[in-house]
Amino acid sequence: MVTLDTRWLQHVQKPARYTGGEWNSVVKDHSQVDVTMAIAFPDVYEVAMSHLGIKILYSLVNERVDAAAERVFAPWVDMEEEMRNRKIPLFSLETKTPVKEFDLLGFTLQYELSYSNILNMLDLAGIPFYAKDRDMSYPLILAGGPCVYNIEPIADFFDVASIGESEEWLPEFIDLYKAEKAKGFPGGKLAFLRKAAQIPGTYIPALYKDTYTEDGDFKAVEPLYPDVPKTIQKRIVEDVEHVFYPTKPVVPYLDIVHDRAVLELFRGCTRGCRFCQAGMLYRPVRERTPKRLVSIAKEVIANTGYNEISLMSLSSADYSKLPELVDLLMDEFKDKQVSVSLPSLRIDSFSIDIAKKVQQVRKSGLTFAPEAGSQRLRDVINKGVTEENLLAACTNAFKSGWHTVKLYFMMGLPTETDEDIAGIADLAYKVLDLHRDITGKRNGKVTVSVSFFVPKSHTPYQWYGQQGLEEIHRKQQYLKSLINNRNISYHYHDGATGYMEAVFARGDRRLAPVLVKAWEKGCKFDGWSEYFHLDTWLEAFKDCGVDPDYYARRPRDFDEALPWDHIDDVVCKPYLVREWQRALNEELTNDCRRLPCNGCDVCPALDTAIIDYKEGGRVDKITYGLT
Amino acid sequence: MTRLRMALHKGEELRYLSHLDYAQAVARMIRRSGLSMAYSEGFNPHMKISFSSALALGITAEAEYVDMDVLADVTVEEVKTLLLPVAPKGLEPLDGVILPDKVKKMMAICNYAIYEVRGSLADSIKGQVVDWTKALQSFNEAQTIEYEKVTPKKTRIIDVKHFVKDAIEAKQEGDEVVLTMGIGIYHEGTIKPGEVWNLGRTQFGWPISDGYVIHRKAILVEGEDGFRYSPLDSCVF
Repeated sequence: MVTLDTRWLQHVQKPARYTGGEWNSVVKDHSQVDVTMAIAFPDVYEVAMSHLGIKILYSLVNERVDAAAERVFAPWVDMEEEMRNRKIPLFSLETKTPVKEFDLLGFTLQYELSYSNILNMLDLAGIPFYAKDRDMSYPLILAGGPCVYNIEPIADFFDVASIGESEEWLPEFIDLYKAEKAKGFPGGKLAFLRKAAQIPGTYIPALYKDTYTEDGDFKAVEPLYPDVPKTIQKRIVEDVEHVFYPTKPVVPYLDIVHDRAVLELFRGCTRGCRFCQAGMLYRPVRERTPKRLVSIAKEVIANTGYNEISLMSLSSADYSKLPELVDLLMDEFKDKQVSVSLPSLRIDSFSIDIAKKVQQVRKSGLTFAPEAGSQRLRDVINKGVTEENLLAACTNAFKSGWHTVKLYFMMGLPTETDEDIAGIADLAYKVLDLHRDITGKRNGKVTVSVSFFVPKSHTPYQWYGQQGLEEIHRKQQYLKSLINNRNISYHYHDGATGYMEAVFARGDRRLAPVLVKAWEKGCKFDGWSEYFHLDTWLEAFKDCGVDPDYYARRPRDFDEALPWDHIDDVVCKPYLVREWQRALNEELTNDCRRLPCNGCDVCPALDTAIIDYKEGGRVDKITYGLT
Repeated sequence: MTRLRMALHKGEELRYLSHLDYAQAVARMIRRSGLSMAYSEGFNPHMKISFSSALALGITAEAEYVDMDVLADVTVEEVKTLLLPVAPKGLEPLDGVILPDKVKKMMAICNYAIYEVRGSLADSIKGQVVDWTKALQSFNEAQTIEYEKVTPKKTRIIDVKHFVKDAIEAKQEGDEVVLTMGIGIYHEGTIKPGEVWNLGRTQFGWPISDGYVIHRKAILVEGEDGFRYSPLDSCVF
């Protein structure tokens, strides 16, 4: 057990990040359980504690009497320095146990720029980076989350990856681990991993070999053993209505990023925006009933003492029973000083009506994501909203008393021209003018926030070569020159982080040594702009003889083998190809939730269906996969 | 409606909570208890609770006091019974009193705190028993002690003895010592126990090292009669 002395701990920033003891945190005696797991998030406490996946898995494992789950997050740089100086290894929050002493250490991979923090955490824990250098005396290092769909750049560091939703997978894996541990792991680590590979949704990188062509292009990732599956199909929870939900989440003492109760309305999104990886990975749409959601909400509020509940989903305004749910929640909590918040709004008047209901007094601001400035480009990305939709929504909002609108856009989208960029400024001015026309006042505020598009695996844009940094910088300045109004504020990032993100989002195993090199040169907390140093990264690439542009900027051929081909999110490739072609033709693809199937293959391949309570629950219709 | 003053612990588990973090932890505990509380009106309704002090991050307290407006008619015992099962470790309810309708704000009347500051002996005298009466004598007997107080906003000269009127006492435990100091909290300001520790070490030659751990033993109301009372004592209401 690690001890932390107040004499120095009180001088680091926010020491409560490291001391645990929060309400609903679970402390178990390790000698009384069969399996111990450290659940790791490679970022600082306030970010990590805001993540729903961690809350689910933490509670799920701790429900078992035979297992203990504890949390471990990345120490902030000042704490890391103290830990290194004092030779304190990375430890868990609950029992202050060195992470190295756990049976399992599971990382959630949310974001490519957190990879350097994973290495830093392993190093602080005294655990060798490469899986091949670890025997069973070390914890097995697990990975989950969206980035496992292309885990290849960091595959060599992990023992096991869980592909897809883990609520059903993890208990199966822990059962196997427990049984094999009791037998003393006959046959050692390799034998265990081969058994684990038989659990559906399990990817064991060490059981596969990556190969390359003579030209140095990626060729394949293939199993080394006949009993190991060639492709790993994602797991989904079909019955989200009855699946475990964490109604006793840990209540932090510190002000975290999302410091409120979280109600997950549904999983998946079928709008089919072509840039959106989450929209592809989490299919199909599966809703919970309002009845179940209200009962979860009551429990969470009673168990935490939160005074705010956030309705979370990929696109919460798409929840088919939203008006009914909001009424039920408002009714339930009206005398209890609990407010309801809706983080993601769809761009239409209906959403504003709901927002009016939930934000009766505090009109803090509305956020919309048109994503692109022109109708043409919005059609290219299949965003499916029009300028009329946006202006109608804003009209409703301004008439109802809102004065601030935030607009999110992306830059660097396929087929983008300067005209599309100018459209962003146009839209901002139109919204501002609308505010003045409706209210007769000049106090309207429009915030334009523009990010740099990163093409991701498993999307129709997975073949697209990212635009160059210089080009993005030029476009950023061009847009800046078009916005000259003190009521419009324009925010953008440098873009360099987007470039590195693009490299790792579509990389292969040859990037592992580059990451190690970058870490050796001091890279960490790359998601925090003050700690991101592009020059250091480029040096690391140069030292390793790897060209980052090869991964980020090179347009790929449809028939080219892709490093993530063996990780199957079940959306079939012909569907993605067709979506790419439709994008170039500026053709929209409808939302399959209530309109006919588009042939992405998810429902038939998983033998499942959309669950939509407006349609009475399970939607049985003809579904297919393009070939 | 019932107005109560409750004494709550701020234990080791909560040492690193800032005043705002602590206030939020208390509010959430009260919400979990199901007690129906009064809230402020307005855009952003706040639970009507107020504290005796803004206890800093890094300091534990034997008791921190909170005034709360409960909508129902309740007794102190009932409130304690409701809070206890939903109190995190280190935030246990200890005691309480029912208040009359009108009371002065605790922040305005609590003007004296007793701290226990623990730290190691200076390396050079480890293993020895120190004559603390002698070591503390020049500080305790001084009439005035000028001290340059540096805050992020300004730097000014204060008289330490204006705030630290009573003699500081020491209790040695092996190679550690606990200094008990009473510090006045006035309109014109106060001095932090850590500042006193460092001042003693650097300017009065106290044989102590620079690291310390602070516990607030009590927060009190010093009356015009010169006596000190607990915030739960009815004569302070």
